[in-house]
Amino acid sequence: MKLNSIKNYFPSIILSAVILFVWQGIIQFGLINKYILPAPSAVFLAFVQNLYVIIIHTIQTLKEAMIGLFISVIFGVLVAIILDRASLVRKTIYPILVTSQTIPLIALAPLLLIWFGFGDLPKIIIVVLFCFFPIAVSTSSGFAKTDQNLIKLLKSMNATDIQIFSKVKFPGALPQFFAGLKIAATYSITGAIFGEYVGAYQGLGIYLQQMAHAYAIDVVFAVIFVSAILSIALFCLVLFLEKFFTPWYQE
Amino acid sequence: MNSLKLSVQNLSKSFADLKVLDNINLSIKNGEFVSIIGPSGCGKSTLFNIISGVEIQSKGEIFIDGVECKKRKGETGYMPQNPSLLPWATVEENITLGLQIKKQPVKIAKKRAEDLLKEFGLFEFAKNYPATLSGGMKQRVALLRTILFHDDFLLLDEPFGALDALTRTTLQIWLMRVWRKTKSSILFITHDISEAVLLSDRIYVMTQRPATIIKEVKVFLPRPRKLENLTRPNAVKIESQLIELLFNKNEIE
Ligand SMILES: Nc1ncnc2c1ncn2[C@@H]1O[C@H](COP(=O)(O)OP(=O)(O)OP(=O)(O)O)[C@@H](O)[C@H]1O
Ligand SMILES: [Mg+2]
Repeated sequence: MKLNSIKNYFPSIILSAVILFVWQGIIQFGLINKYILPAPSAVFLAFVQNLYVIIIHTIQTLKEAMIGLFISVIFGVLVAIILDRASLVRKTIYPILVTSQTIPLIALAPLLLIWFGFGDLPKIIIVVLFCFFPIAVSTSSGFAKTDQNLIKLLKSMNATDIQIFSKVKFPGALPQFFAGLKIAATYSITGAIFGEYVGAYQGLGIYLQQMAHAYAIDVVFAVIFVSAILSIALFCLVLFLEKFFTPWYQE
Repeated sequence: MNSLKLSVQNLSKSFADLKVLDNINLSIKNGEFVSIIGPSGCGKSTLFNIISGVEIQSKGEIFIDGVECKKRKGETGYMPQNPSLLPWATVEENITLGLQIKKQPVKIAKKRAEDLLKEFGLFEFAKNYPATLSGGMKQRVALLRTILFHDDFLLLDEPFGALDALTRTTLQIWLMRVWRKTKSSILFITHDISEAVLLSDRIYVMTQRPATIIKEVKVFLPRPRKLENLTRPNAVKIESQLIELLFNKNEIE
């Protein structure tokens, strides 16, 4: 299993290594100015030199992303359950949900800042706006795809609605829920950074902005690298949870 | 022992303006194996949905154990036409589904599942997920699930319809073995004439939609039956009678 997955990633690891190598070479030979594009080695150096500060900002961002993601899971699943209950509700809520996704967050973010200040709340709200939608939509389509034969079977056994939900609908929708959660997990870090970028005391977003204004491009790259690692880490966490909770489900 | 397990009287069912069942009358004695045979789409599954209480009839009454029964959910062991197993549950968990619904203690449910699996040769698969089972195995599990929920009255809707001929025969024999143990009253839907003859005490023949019962055929063959019984003159005669009923009646229209 382990060996197999390493084997699977082997080509992309090689490719990444090649790109880094070429990139390093291009800068080394002066083909591109290092103040415009820093070499990987310089980015790494900037990362090490600013490690302490980066860690502090990372913790802040991670906190917002995790809280936001957690709220999104609860909210998203709740919305999916409500959508599943009645077609009238579905017809009423679904368009509103979709419309909510067309609001440009770039417009909303400064408003949230005015309403809720520089604290965690506006960032968490932005993360939720990013994340709950894929969870709600995916989970809701999971509910919709429930095997009607199973529902018939449970009805013939005189099962209650709650039993039908817990024995059939919920486990049946789990793979779809995790598909949505995977997307949401990768959005959550980006969402938090975006929220901070508009205004914050702390976090990778505001740090990124400060460093960009100071033309510390190597640090900017280091932060981008960190945010990518965070997203991947969250994604892997979801993969792990998925394997754990749906052992019967093979893709 | 000769009292009726089930009696269906003057039962009709329509969906909007589609008349599916028209004045159905049938009955099963306790411990009897009765088949229903009829053309595709005539309303056999609808009849089972009604008997099991999943759907409501437009007209008519249903008696179980001699008492008119209006709320029938939970009164039958219904194995629907596509008896999906829960993909996320192991064989053991699937088999105990009905007991979980009845809120029986887990320990007792597990014990009963274990006994049943052992008795009918499936114990080694207890911890398997359905995806790892063959078609025939899945049907066995679904049958045991039905029996564990309600072993004295079973509604089996084409349980072997999707299996290859060899597996089907194996399962027919297996079902007879199970039935000898459980002594259930069984109502069994099939498309397959020789299956009906092999298994049943009586066979009801249904017409095209709107379906009525045109004939009740008694199968006088000794039990326990073997496959060879099907070549007896008596069995061949019943088969040809059924073929005639099913095809002549339906082709005239
Ligand atoms: N819930 C429903 N709403 C409307 N029409 C239905 C419904 N259920 C079944 N029907 C129709 O009733 C008719 C009988 O269906 P049913 O499934 O009972 O037939 P069947 O005899 O079991 O067929 P098969 O041999 O293919 O299993 C079909 O024409 C079907 O389209
Ligand atoms: Mg059918």
